[in-house]
Amino acid sequence: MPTSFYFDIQRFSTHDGEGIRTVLFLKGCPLSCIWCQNPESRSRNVDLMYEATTCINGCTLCQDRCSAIKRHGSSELLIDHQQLNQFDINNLKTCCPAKALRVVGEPVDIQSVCEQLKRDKPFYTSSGGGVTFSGGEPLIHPHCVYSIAQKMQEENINVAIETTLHVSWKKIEQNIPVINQWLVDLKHMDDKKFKQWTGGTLSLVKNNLVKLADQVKDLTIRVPVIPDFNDSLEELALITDFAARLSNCKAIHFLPYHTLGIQKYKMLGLSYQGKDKSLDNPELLQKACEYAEHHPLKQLQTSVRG
Amino acid sequence: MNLDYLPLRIQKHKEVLINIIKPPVCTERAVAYTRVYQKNPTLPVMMKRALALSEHLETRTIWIDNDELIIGNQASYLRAAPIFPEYTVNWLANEVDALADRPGAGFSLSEVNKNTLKEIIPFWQGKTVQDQCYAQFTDEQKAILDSGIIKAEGNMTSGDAHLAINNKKLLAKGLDGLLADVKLQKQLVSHNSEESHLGNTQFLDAVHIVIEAVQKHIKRYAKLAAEMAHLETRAFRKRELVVIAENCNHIAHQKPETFWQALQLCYFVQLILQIESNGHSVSFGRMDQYLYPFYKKDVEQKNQLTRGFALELLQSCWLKLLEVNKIRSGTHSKASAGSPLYQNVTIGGQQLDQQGYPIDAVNSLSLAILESCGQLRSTQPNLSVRYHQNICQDFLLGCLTVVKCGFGMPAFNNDQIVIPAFIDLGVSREDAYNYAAIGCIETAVPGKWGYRCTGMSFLNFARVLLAALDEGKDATTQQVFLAHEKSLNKGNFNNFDEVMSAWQQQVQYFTRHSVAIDAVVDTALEQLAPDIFCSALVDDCISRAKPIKEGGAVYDWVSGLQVGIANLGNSLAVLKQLVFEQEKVSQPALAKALADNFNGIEGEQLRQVLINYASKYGNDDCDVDKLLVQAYDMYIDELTQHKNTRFGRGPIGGGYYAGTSSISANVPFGANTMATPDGRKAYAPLAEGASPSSGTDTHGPTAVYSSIAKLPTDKILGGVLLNQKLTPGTLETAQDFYKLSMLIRTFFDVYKGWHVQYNIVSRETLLAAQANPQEYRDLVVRVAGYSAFFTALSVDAQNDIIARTEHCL
Repeated sequence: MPTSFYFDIQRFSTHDGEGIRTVLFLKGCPLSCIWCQNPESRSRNVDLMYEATTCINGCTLCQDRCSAIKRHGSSELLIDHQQLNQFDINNLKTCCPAKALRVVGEPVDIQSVCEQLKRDKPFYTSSGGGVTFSGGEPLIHPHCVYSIAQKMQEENINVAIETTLHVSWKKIEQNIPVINQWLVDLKHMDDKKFKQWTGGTLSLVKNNLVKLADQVKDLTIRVPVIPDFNDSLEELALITDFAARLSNCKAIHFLPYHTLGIQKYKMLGLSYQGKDKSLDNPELLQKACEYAEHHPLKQLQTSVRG
Repeated sequence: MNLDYLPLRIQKHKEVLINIIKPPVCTERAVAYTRVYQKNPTLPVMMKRALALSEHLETRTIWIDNDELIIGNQASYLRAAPIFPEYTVNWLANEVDALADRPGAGFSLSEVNKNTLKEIIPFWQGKTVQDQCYAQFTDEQKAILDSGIIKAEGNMTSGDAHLAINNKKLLAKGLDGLLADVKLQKQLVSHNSEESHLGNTQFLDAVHIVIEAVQKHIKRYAKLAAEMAHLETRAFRKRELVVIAENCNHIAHQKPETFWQALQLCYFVQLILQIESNGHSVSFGRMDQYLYPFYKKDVEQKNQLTRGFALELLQSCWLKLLEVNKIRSGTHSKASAGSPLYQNVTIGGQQLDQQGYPIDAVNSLSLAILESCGQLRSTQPNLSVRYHQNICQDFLLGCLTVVKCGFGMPAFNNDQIVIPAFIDLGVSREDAYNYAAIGCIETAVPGKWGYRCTGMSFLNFARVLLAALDEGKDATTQQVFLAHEKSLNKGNFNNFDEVMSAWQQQVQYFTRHSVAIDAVVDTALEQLAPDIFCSALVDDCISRAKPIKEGGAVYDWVSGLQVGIANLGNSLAVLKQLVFEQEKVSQPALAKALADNFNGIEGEQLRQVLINYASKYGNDDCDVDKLLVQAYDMYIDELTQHKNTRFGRGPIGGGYYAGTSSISANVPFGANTMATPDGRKAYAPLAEGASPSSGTDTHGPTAVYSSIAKLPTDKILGGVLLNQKLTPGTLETAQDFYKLSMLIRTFFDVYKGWHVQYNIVSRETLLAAQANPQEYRDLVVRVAGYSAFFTALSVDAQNDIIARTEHCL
């Protein structure tokens, strides 16, 4: 089994499931959504991120250690990401004093991760919160998710997962017993457009979702609202119609597109293809919510989170 | 709650006050006191002070303005600061010509007043509290004070205060009732011929004079209100002035009957306490408890007063608190950014029922006070809420609604840690359940506790540590106070334990000296500036026939302030982890980098290693948190062995405990501290209170709570100050409010947190306010245990607030 990596453990998260939560962000995603604001989550392996603003001017420690990194004069570092291999990256791990050059991704050690996830248990208990798996796509690490979630269940800690369901059913199925809340991304209803913007296969998601909905009690559909992709009432309504037909789906959340992560592309040496302006269309979101709240098949709870 | 409403007259009054950028100085008090002291050189000090206060109250300018409902003025002009020459004139003599130019603390002084001051200053030179202190300090003490490692300037240049008087008793007896007690006690003392009772008699005589003077003074206001009513053309205002006059005539003698009268009497007393002495943090105690019977009767039973008008009365009172002003020396102003008076009002908490079981004390007046403050959004009063497990959830959510207004209030204190700790100290159960916040966040039993439950001398932990790391040499002044053999420079610390021992030796040394310095200051204040009126209102001064400073109070524990808590912990973590365990940094290399202030590329590289590769306090990291606890305990173990000057003279206690509510002293203390091993550069601010260092708490508020809970909070009764900044987006939906309320509950119920307060202002707003102060005159932010108008702060203090970590929900 390949090692699973995580890139953050974020305590006091309040927008990813009920109550006060701690979110474990696992690395690796089968999709490649153009609008993705967590580019460091895409690769299953470690990444090298560079933040020019904290780089010490005149420091050469990383250049001395790795030939793929250069600096001309006092300008920013030039990193040839193509030339970097895993050995280089590991070699750079504790090299930068300022952590301007940062290796993103820690191997998951089940016990140590569980220790960290348990830290805020008193807050989970009082607020009805718990632990949330996120990513990337956490379910590409089904065994890792299962082991951790099971330990959390033993501790009476509520477990939620944010997933695209873009994985084989087997990986989902084995985790059903240990997950309490499912937050499932449903981005579009058109196969072609879905493929174009995410690189994925919509039918896989839909089939998984229908099966899942029959077997779980707490299911929320989450829709990222992306300009030019699905920011029309028609497209959002189609998604809502699908959600309303799912047996145990109670709520739909609309998450307006934001650009808080654009900088991270540059830090990873990647170029960003999405828009540089956040979605500013409160009217659309309000109408989408109204549509869902008054749906003839099922009245869905709604929420909008920027 | 409707927090978007503010009565027009209150709006106008507030507008006037916040647009006074450089308030005037008033010399009337200084002149009256000088006159009385000059005329009666041979009288005992107690009598001099009683006569001086009495004469000042009789002759000073009084006015009623701004259509205010609660009346009384501290000085001759609006927001003018009186001068208290008996404490100090030294700084005044030096700064009198440049008062207007002090950043963040400018005052305007007319030529006439300047000349008046210049005339009276020579009389006081050599006679003030500060002069007497310096005459009694040893050379060593003077050197330590000059170095700034210990600061006690605020203590010898002003009165003590930091207490709440017994408002409940005041309201129950009225001024005539209090006077009757004094007369009775005088008879008892005069019959007690076996003891030497001269001092006791003099004290009681002095109290007698002062209470009568206060009564006459209130009647002066009655007369003025009646005269103004006569001339007033607007019918509503005429009626109000008539009532105000009647109220004053009534409360000058009798106990109040109505809510308005009760509030007015409390305000007059609050005001006169701050005319008698310029000690700050004069607090109201549990106002929602002792005023509740009046509120209930007038608003809820008899319907004599609408709730709206009751709120307006409260707001008028709050604005009158904002009018009270204090002028400090230029250097001292930096430690008290925004010229705050820290007049605290406490609401909520618990009370004991008839069977002695604790029950939630929240009532309709608690809510009214909360709402009145939420509407007004001013810096005064400093509003504190006593939290406990069974506090009404609606009230807690109401508090968060006010927190969202973004002026840093209310702050929360935790009954569940303070009450048991007080009982352990020897405070009676009944009194412990009746505690209130004083000043910023510190706590005491109102009306029964002596001065300065916190606010004794300040100790700079960061500089003590730097001395420990360099043979006892202070890095800032290069003086050696207590020499030892170990230094980083020589690389002769054999292990980390030796670092801890060096810290222990140094901190013990400076702690002993801080207590000795306190004793000198306390003695000078006792001999030269006893408070008569204030003592008369604190139990058991009358029955013991002596002022607070001689041991008149029922309880008398004090605390000093320790500055740089997080810097101490983080520096120790660097030494343990990077120097001794990992050997990543050598002792001499660290010493050199500190001496060079991390100069050059190598210096900066090392500094970043210190910042990024060692544990930091505030992230729920046991390694660093434990080191801090160990080091802090060494201080506390030494401190608690010491007594204050009232020990054995009457009060329960007479000792010390620790405290971290060090106002904004982290900024000027940092400005006198060289580079520290936590990677902090020389002159940068130290960490505030018990909060993590700016920007180092990267794991969110729950991790901060967990770290702070590891401190010995039951021994830090002078306050464990935690300031958190949240973005406005944190509190939008009902779910957000619920989650924040659960965050607070868990912090207090499970982690036994001591205190927390929230600043909800976005970074962008603060930067905009810094750039365009004229557009943001009303922006109030939490500084350190109190709120201040942001634009009135110095740029350093503003930057410190901006730098503090913002936690996003």
